[in-house]
Amino acid sequence: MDDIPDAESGEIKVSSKTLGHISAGLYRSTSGALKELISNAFDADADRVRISMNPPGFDVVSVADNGTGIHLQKFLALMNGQIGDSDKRVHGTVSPAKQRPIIGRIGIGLLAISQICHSFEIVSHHKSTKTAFRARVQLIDYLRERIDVAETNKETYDIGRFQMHKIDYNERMAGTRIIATELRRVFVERFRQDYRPLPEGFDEFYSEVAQVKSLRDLCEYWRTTWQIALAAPLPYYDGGPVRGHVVDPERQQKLLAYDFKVAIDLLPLQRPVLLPPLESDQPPIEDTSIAHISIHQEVDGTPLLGSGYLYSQGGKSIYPAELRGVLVRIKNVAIGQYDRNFLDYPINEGPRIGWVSGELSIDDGLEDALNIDRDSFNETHPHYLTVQKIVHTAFDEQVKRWIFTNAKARRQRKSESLADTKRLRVQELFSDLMPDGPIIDHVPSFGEPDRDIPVKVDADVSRIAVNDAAGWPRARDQRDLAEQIAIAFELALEEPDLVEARRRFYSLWKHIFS
Amino acid sequence: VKPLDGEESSWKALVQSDRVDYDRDPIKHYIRVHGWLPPSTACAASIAPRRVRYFTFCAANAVDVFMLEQAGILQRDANGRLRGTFFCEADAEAFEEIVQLIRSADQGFLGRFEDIVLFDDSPSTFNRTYTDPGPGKITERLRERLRIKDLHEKMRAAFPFDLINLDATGTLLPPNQGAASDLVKAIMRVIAWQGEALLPNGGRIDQFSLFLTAEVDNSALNYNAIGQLISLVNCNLEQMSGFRDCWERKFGASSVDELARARFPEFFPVAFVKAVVENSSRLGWDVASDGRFLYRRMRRGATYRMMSEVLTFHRVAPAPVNSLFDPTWGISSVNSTKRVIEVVQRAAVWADDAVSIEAEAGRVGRHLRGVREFRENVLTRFDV
Repeated sequence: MDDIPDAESGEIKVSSKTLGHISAGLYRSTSGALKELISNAFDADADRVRISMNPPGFDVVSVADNGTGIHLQKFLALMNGQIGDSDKRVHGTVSPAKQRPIIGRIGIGLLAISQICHSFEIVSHHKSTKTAFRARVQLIDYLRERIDVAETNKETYDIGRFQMHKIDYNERMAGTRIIATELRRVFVERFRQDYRPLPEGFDEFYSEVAQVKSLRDLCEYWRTTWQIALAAPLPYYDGGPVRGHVVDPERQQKLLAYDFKVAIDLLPLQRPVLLPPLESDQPPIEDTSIAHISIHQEVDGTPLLGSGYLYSQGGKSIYPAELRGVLVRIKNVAIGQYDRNFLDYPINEGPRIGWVSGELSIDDGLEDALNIDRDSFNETHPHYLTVQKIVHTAFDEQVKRWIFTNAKARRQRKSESLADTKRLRVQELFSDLMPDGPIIDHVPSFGEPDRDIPVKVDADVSRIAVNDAAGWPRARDQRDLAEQIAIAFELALEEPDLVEARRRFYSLWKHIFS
Repeated sequence: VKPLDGEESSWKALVQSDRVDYDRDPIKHYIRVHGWLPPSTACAASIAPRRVRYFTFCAANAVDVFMLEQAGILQRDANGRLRGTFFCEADAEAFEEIVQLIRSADQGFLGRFEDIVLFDDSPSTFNRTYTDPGPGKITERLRERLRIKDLHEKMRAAFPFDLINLDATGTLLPPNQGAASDLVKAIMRVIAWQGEALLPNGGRIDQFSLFLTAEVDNSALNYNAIGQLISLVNCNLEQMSGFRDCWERKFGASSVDELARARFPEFFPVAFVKAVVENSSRLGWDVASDGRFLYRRMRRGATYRMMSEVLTFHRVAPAPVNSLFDPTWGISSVNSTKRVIEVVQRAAVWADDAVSIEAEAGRVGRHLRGVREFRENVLTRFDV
């Protein structure tokens, strides 16, 4: 670092390719932008990332980590055109100290934060060289408009200015801090709208989020907090992702072993995936299914490794709705949000699609299919197409098959349950006459000459035969009532004379309607 | 690579400015312990069970915050969020350090205190807000003005406070400003806000303490403003016999001009605080001087002096309907002679002399170490 002057300022240059991506709008959400900085912290072997949004004003956003820090030379290289370049493998595929898989790109992180502010400061205390710098980065206002009229034949473009000063290294401050000071008004406006402070603990946060039908019912601050918790390489909350099941325990172990913690305004985050989200919504065990996915493939000579699951719950939609679909992760970092179309699944599954939630974590491969925003995929990349096929196959062969089997079983159980209910009601009504409890047999037809007789009763053996062809009312409750009246009529006929028969019938009739 | 110039160089100066190590400075801690802690403790006791509301210019180490927390005056919730503590800091890096360190549940204000407090709408900002700047392109300058306007509204809404710690590093009367500097005007506006603002529970405060620290250096002051202070004292000496007796007992019979030249660090706090007392009385506050500290610092080999005044305000009149403050240093229309005499009588303690005594240095050092350890414990306990 000796050949670098103590202070330096200059234009921020990006390649025409990167400029094109900026022009197209790099990040669609605040969480997408902050996720990239969290990934940078993870790569820098940080074990703590603290995000502060300065609520309720939301006028300063800072992301501070205690990692190795960014070296000044790297920062200057980024300012001089390296943002967006594919140099991530230069220093290896794992982080130097903790051997974590490298998941982010420093330059994209810096570009990401600029999506939410007009200017920011970066302060880095680099552990291994014991050097430090502080820089202010200011992007050109109305950049997109300028891009539209820019010359198209240049190799690099200026997108802003930076000023840098070396500062004294401080071990206590080791790591990187990014402080966004002039927040974009859209950001500020969104976060202030319907603002509610975050609760004191993640349990409280989770239990409130789990009760909403959609994250749209939450304010932007809470929604962003949830999205960041979902996206970061953090351990699952409360034994997730599926209540009462151990799903991919090695992955949870790996996430715990990272010892990586992220907090937003002092709220420590965990991965908020616990299906079903509310314990009170837990379906019977036989109405849930987990399809495990394991990926060990080679695509065009490159490995594609990973694992995942597709959780289904029969006949019951998953809430919050944002958990429906499949979430693809690369090295445990979420890429975008849950895809409700299951990576463009070709068949319209109607409401059944809302019963399924899954995650697919790719540990090796797929990264080259990422677009520059690192939040979406190039959908023609061979790795992406392979992952898509795997998801569709799992959906077809495991999820859909189970859904149909389960639907049939649920119908059967429902039918049995209704029969039981009916039997108990009849038993209760006619217990004086059939103390052993009646056995109800449904007969398709009594045949001639009893074709139109709805019910036959043999009180001696407590058996009731119901003629299904007797022209019953269609509505189930009306049919049950009609059956009970017919049974009462048949039991009354057991009496030896008409007066007694009438008395018994009206006694039972009264009982039926009491 | 371009040379740094203009606006950039001011940022560079900010980055590279000398910083006192407040974590280990016995002089500053002597003032915290002997000046700020006693009235803070009394305040917390008098308003209990209501929580103390504290506004501070805490430096990045936030020793004052942790000292008050250690004394039970400020409190955290179960998750480690400090409640009722607001801070203002102009430097983004220091701001971020404070955020990470004190972990306040309340908002910090990133900007120059004077700019935020004194913001007044101009034609360019009228009917515009940061989040709704209106049609057309927004220049950087306008955006910054709107940002300050936004902070102004938020800061005003945060008032009132039970303790206000304006621990400034510059002078109160810098040479390049008017007779009443921005900081002085901001202090008086804040005192006015204290009278008007409602607590979250809808009530008003009847008492608060103001800790005012600033550089006292007659080589970098606004002589016009000092001239006005001298005139004011002369006027008081002519018109108020009790004041004259008291003044002469303290400073002798030499002229005020001579005193201001020869013993400026002693003259300035008296004259300045006297003016604050008089002007505050117009706003319905009875102000008592509860402590005055002076100390010497070194900067690039040269000595300069600092003052730290502890003032306690008691409400004696309802809040004025119109808060607009006319920063003219005139004679108060309210009889505040008694308080003014007290201001003159208040003996200044030279804090650097006090801590040069071994026993006192030991006591202060141990207390400061205790605060640092407490801070580490808090940060460890609530590590997230």
